[in-house]
Amino acid sequence: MSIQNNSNNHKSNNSAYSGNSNNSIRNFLIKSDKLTINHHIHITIAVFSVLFIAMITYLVVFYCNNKSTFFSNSYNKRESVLYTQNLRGNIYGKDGELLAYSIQNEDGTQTRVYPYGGLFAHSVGFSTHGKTGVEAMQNYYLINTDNSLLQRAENRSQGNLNTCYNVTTTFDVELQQIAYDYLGNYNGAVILTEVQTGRVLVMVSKPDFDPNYIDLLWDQLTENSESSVLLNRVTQGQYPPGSTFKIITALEYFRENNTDYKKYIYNCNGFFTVDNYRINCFHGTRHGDVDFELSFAKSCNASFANIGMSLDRSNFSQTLDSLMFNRELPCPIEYTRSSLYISSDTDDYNMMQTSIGQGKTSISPYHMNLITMAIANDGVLVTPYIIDNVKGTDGAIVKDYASEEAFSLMTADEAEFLQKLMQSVVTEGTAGRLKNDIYTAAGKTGSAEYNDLGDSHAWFTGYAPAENPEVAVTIIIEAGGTGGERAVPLAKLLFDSYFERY
Amino acid sequence: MQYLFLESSKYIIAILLMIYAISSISIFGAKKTGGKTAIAVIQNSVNILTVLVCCIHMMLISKNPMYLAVLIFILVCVFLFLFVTQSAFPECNILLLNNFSMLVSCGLLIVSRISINKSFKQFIIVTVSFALCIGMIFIFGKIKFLKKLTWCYAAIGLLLLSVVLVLGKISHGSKLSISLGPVSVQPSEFVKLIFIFFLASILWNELNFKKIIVSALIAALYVGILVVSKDLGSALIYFVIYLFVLVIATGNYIYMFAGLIAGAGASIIAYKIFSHVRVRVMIWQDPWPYIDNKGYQIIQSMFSITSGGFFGTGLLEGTPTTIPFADTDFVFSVICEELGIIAGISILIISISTFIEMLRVSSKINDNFYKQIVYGIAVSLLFQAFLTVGGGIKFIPLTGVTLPLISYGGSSIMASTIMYFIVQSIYIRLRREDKVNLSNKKTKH
Repeated sequence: MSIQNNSNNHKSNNSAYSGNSNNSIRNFLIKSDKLTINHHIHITIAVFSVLFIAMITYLVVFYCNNKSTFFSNSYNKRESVLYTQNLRGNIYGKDGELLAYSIQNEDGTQTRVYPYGGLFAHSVGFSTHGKTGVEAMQNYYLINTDNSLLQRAENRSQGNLNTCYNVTTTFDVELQQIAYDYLGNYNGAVILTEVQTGRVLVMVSKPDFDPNYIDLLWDQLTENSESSVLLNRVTQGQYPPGSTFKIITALEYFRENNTDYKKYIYNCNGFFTVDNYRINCFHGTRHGDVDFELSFAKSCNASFANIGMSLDRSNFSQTLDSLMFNRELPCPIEYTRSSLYISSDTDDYNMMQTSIGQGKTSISPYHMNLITMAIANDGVLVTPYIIDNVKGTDGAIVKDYASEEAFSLMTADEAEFLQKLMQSVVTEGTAGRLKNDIYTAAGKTGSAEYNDLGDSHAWFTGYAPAENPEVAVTIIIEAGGTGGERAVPLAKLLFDSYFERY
Repeated sequence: MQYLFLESSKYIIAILLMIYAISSISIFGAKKTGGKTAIAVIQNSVNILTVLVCCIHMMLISKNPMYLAVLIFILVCVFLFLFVTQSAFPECNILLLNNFSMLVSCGLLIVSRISINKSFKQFIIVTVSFALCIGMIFIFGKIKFLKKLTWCYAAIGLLLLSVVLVLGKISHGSKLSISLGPVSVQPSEFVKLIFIFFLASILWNELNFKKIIVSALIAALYVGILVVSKDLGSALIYFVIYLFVLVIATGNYIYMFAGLIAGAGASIIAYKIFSHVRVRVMIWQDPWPYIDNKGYQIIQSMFSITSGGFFGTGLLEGTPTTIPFADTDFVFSVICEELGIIAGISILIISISTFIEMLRVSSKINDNFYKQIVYGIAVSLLFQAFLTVGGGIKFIPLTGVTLPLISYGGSSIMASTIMYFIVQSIYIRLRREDKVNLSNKKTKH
């Protein structure tokens, strides 16, 4: 019954030796170091150590990867605690204009103020009733403080809130205002991006609302689902692309025929028929003899229906896939996927309709802008971003953002081909209003019909300068009329203002 | 001054816990007795300071004078553990004692953060368990028949688990506890110890294949009852205890591989048969679609862990109570949220330190029976910690077990305390015999 088998008669001696403990501890410890190693016990220690080291590593990585996304989850109520301690940070425009800030009320609560009212309603967004736009993206930094321990102690003693990180966006207030004013009471969307950097300078969606009064407006905004005021039409709006889609039809034609496109010739009588189906040119215009470039510049529906009929439908499907139709888009905020399905089973009528941008196609202005950016940048899409940096309260940059990735949507040859076509739209086609002496522009207009009466949404997507593209713009004005008359003038205003300053 | 303290206390607590964690590992490297004594003194000071800082912080934040009572009773506990044990048994293992005191203190602090009433109950249970254990150390050396009770252990353990299976209250889908008058007892916590005694008593000597088969069958019975009771966490702990004790008894890893294969097979069958097993795995893989119901707990736990940062929000300044069972199964998440991830890691390191020390004790024992008991207890305590912490951070599927000595729960804390002090009892006996041997040698010369 002894723990050590070789010890006998120990019981009687126990009490005698329990008194002098210091010496015996020493003896015991010295002896213990000499004990033979028990392999299995060491292996057990190793197994559990590895298990725990793995778990601790996982814990730290898990924390670092998820802290900001978990924080913004609507099921996470921890934010409310931070609102009692920290004053939500500021959001700035590209040149330091204050787009959003918070003030501390007497009762310790805080109120969010948007000095520009509805101008950035969708892009900067709002922070109560859920969060949208920049407010949602940067929520973690905006509500966490970088105040030092002493500052926090002082704030706590005086009942002040701590100050938080501030966020600078890429938005250009002047350009944003031009687009906003031009849209006026029309619904629509405007996005303007730098093609080489991916910075988004303009993101306007109409109808808008004043986020200062979001609490009062909330019921009204959510009740009236028809006008969908809360929708950011730039990324979430889905429109028929109209003639802007001819860019994509042209790209597919080029991919299938390469240099042969120069031989293309078509005599336009104002309509095109296959079986009993008929495609009309806009307002029935007869374009006469047109080559490929002129078909594009004049936006000849009959010629493009003819081109569309010549295309291989399963190849076309691949091109649509490569241009991210029905797929995820690289987008920093909430968006809706564009939708268009073409396959070898697609019937002739749908094929003709699709080729001229009518039919079942729906696309967001943002997606159209991505394609335009890639064309302008020789086929390479530099993905857009809207947050420039996050600064601490001392003004030091703690996080600097850039475009997350750049990838090729088409070859440089294909981009060059489309660039030429889009230049001809300005020089001899539907976007003639962009002609000027200061810069050259390129683009494609669209007038997407949305009812049987011939009413149309006005589209324009393009870039400037044509030789060395810097910015790409995409505009849609709902029920605005023709793209050339209604959307192109806004593109001109935006380019004018941009090139005046840069 | 008060505000400076409130802002800085979380850093102080994190640093204190870190110091303790480092000391609890570095003590293994200390060569001289003097070095170990110095480390032990540091540990005791850190223990008391942590309790002081935490309680004062909670008092200032809540303006609730009851936290003064919390402070006093935790200090009483620390005094009892450290001073009384060492006076009564100078041969006791200081590191195990210090770790015990530190973990129990942290547990009482965290539970008091959630509910002062609960922490008071916890305090009473801890003191009663401690008193029992002191008595146990006195008589432990005098009991001679522990090795012979093999079939008693097997029968009592199985009986208790079966009683739970038949009469147990169903709480949250599993049968864990039975009511004895006003108190509710969770027998699987205590049966764990009986199970370890059973294994040690059957495997300690004259090992043959028949004995191994018998032990495997009985172990399978234990685990099977627990799986049917839906107490998956305990089932896993019992299984792992068995595998490790078998290896230390036989010295042969073939048994472990065989056991693992059998366990894997059994898991697959359990996965196919029991929907509650499938649900656990499903939620572990992707809890987000079930955020409103089955995944709510784990997601709130994940929110909690990621919201405090490395230093935590400060006690009473977070919202860990949004997690259901915050004080039992998810106590680690509460620690991470309010005391910070550094504090959480420190607690894990202290658990590992305890484990290593217990295995060191085990390696010094020549008698296989006691060797295996100490070994089994060490594996049981650490593996349970692994299950609860890993489950709370979605490292492994959630099993719903407590963090030994820290989580709220009478059965859990009492069983864990008894486990710690059984190791102490064996250690004290070992030390006393050791001295006898030394003196015998001296007299022979």
